[in-house]
Amino acid sequence: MKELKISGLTAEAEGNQILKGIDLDVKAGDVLALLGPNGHGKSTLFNVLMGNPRYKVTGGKATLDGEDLLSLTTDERAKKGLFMAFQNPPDVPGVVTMDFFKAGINARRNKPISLFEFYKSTENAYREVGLDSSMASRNLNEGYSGGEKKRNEILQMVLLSPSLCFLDEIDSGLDVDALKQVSEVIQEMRKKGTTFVIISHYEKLYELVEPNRTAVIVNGKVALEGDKTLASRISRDGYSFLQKEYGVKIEKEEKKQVSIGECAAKIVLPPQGNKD
Amino acid sequence: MLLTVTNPDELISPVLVHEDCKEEIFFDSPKERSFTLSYAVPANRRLELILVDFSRSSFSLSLQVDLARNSSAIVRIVSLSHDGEKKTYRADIRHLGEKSFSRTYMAGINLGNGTLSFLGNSTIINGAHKSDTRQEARITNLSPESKSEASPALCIQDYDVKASHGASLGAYDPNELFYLMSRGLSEKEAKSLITEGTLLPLLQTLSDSKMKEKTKTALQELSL
Repeated sequence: MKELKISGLTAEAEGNQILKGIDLDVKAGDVLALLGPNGHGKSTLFNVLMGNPRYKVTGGKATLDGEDLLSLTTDERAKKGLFMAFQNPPDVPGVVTMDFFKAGINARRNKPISLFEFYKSTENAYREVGLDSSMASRNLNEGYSGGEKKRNEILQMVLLSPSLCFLDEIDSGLDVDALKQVSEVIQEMRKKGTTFVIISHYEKLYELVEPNRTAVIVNGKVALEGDKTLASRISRDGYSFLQKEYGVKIEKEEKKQVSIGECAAKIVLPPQGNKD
Repeated sequence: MLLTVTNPDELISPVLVHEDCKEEIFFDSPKERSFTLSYAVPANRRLELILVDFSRSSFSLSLQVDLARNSSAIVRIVSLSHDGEKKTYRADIRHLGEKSFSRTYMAGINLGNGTLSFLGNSTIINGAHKSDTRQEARITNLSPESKSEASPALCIQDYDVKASHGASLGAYDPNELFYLMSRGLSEKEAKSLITEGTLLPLLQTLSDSKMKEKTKTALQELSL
């Protein structure tokens, strides 16, 4: 991967416009801190770029090294080197972790991986992220703790060695030691040229991985870009200075009415109102 | 104990379970069949039952398990329903004594336009205090014409008990599918992993190696 170019990208979920014209370029080797208030479109952007069918692209473009990304299926995007660490990795009952890993690795190869090689690389990966390799024989994410799920995401990143990684709140649910381990893995891959876009609400992860750029998404748009110091400032001061100094108004989330018979947890609560 | 059953006469029913026992039954009948099975589990005994039906014909099973005081039963039913077949499984678990325990798990794949019904029912009679029961049914439909029904029912006549039930029925969970595909698995591969996954948790509990082999081959032959 050399460059991911996003321009004027708009997308909706269940009829609610969430992305309202994202413009963002990510260059090879970047470690980009992606910030923004809750519900303003950060995770949606990742999901749209990865091809989650829950979101509908309504306009704009996203290209990877000049090639249209949005027309590719999710697995094709993965094979182009994209990877997303899920904020909430789903439990997949009945699917054995090991079988899933093997299928993921083999999807990127012409010849299936040998048993020995597979064993060696998974053992190493488990060690790197601090999980017990006996978990490979368990059902995927089923019965894992929050922290184990996050480590399991990083583990897959190591196994699949993607070139562009979207990490969606990978630090939530991790204890201090785990956070260190995860950031070491990120640093190691960065040295090898892997590109990262990282969503986090806590400065600790950014301190450890030292992003070279920051972008802030507000109201479904990239409102501000800067270097590493911008991420630190937001951690310290919050988002209120955006309006005072840059005239970026943060629209309040308008809560959608939830009626009986609907699952409240499933209703998306995107920012609504006029475009700024 | 392993039974491969093609003829209902081979089954001796009702069965009084004298000792703790694990029974694994593989139904492989070429013709339409209907079976009735009943077990009585005496006090302090344990029954574990796995019924696997991959037969290529319509099928109907009626299972009854009676539980005395402090006894337990784990029942697992696994089914594949092919085109044009009508398959119905009834599992009546009756808690007749105090502190009796049961779990019923039914899992199936409806491959075509057939009808697949899981009708589970747990009864806890008045007086069977501290009994504990759960009914679960899970069906994955592979065709838009699949007709499936999952009804894990509870009939509770005592106050001091634990009882729960759950059913899931449908095609693929889009969230699971997206997750697997985001790692590079094609839609077909992802679906086939998830489909096998409907049955595997139950099939994994088989202890007879011949039976394991049989179910594995049958699943591979499906080439989902």
